[in-house]
Amino acid sequence: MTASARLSIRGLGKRFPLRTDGGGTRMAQVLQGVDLDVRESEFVSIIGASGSGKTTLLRIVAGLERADDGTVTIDGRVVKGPGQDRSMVFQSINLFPWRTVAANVELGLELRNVPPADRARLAAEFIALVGLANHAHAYPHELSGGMQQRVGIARALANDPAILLMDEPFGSLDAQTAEFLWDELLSIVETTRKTVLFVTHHIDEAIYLSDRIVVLGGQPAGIREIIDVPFRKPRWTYDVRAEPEFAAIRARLRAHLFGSARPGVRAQSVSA
Amino acid sequence: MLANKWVLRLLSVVVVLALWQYVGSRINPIFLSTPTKIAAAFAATVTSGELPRAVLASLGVTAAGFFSAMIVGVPVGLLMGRFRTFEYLIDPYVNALYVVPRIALIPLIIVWAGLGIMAQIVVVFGTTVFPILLSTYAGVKHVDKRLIETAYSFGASERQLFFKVIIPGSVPFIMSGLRLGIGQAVIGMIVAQMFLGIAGMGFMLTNYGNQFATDYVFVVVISLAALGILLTEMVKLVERRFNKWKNDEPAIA
Repeated sequence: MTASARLSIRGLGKRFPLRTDGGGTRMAQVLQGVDLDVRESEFVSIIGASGSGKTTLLRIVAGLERADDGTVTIDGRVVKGPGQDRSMVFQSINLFPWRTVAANVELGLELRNVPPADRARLAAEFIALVGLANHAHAYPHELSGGMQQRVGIARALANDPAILLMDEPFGSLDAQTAEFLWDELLSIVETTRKTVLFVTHHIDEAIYLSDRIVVLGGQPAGIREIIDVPFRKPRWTYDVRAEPEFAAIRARLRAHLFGSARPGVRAQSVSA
Repeated sequence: MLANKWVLRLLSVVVVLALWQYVGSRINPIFLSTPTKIAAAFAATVTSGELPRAVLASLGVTAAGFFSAMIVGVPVGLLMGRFRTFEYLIDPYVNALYVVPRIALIPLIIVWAGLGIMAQIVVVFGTTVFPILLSTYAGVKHVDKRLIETAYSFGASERQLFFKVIIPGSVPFIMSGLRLGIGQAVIGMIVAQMFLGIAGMGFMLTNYGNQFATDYVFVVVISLAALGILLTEMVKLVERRFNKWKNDEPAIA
């Protein structure tokens, strides 16, 4: 365990009830023995095939699900439920349709009874950060999907969490919008120095954004490999995807996700 | 195209009125009366003050019954939708009363509340409270689960969840309930005044009906239609005000 770990996951396990042929249920182990440390201001992605438990892992860190084994600690405190030290950005965005952009961004502050003047100031700051200053008084349905998710990111940041949790945040957007938001996110994270735990099934997205990529797999799922992503920052100033190393990491991730599709490329398992 | 639409409607009304006048003046006036006689009856009841007084009496009963139904129906619906314990304590009565035609309760209402205004208000309340209560309940059940989870993830307490997510999230259904409720309130008011009234539009209806004064009956029926449209439009106006964040259709058409 590194001394500077912001998030620390130890021996994490999760079981879900599964319906059986006989009409009964049995417990299926979906996650087992997950150990992971995330350092301050680090961007870590969790990647895995669908059903690999990556969203479950994120939801446990968020406090929206309970772990059956192991612990999650943030800055030394054990996670027992949702808390202000973590903010979630959802794939389904989940803006409140009856609230304006500004009122949506104020949500977390309002729930913590921050005075209205401070709320308004902080909301305006983060709305400007995500480039929506001109849309602060719009309702969500008046915005495009990409703009809505920027509001989702501003809402999460306004709460000033220790860790930003992102569950496939660009998964519901078209490819072009998503790629545009990669750079936006990198620049926002650079500005705010936030620690990010990011779930995705999109290989290029994981490589482009992350400092490290955690590969989940197996049944029950555990960490198969942790890949360091060496590209220098800021990454929007050059074509990261043209780097030879990019192709190598991508091939490795593909092998994990789709099996060894090409000869000579084999997944390397690491014991966690 | 729009002008055409209104021309067609006007044409239709003119033709039907002309036919009515033609047929009505050739048969016993008890059956159809005629538009001109109805217009004369309308003028007579307006100048005598009978119709305005009846409309006012009816509006008072409708409004009192409607607002008391709203004050009870919305909170009970919200609590039933959100709290299982409360739901199971209350739903036997709600379900039982909902399936009983409320008119069947009139003899009991007479025993409890007499024959006056109060009894009429109780009848209106009885017909109006169920659409409001049940729509509100449905609204709570239809609040997006993902928004509830989002609020929890940002640290909302049960109380905050109720006031910041459940209530605003139920507003479209509550508004639909109020819109359905106002129609039911007008029905309840007429029924109550036909049975219990010595004033109001329902009483006028019974009174002129018993005298076979068909032209006067039509005056009341047409006034009721106008009143119904007016009240529904007023609720729709409020509904639009609350739904300005939505661009789609109302939850219950």
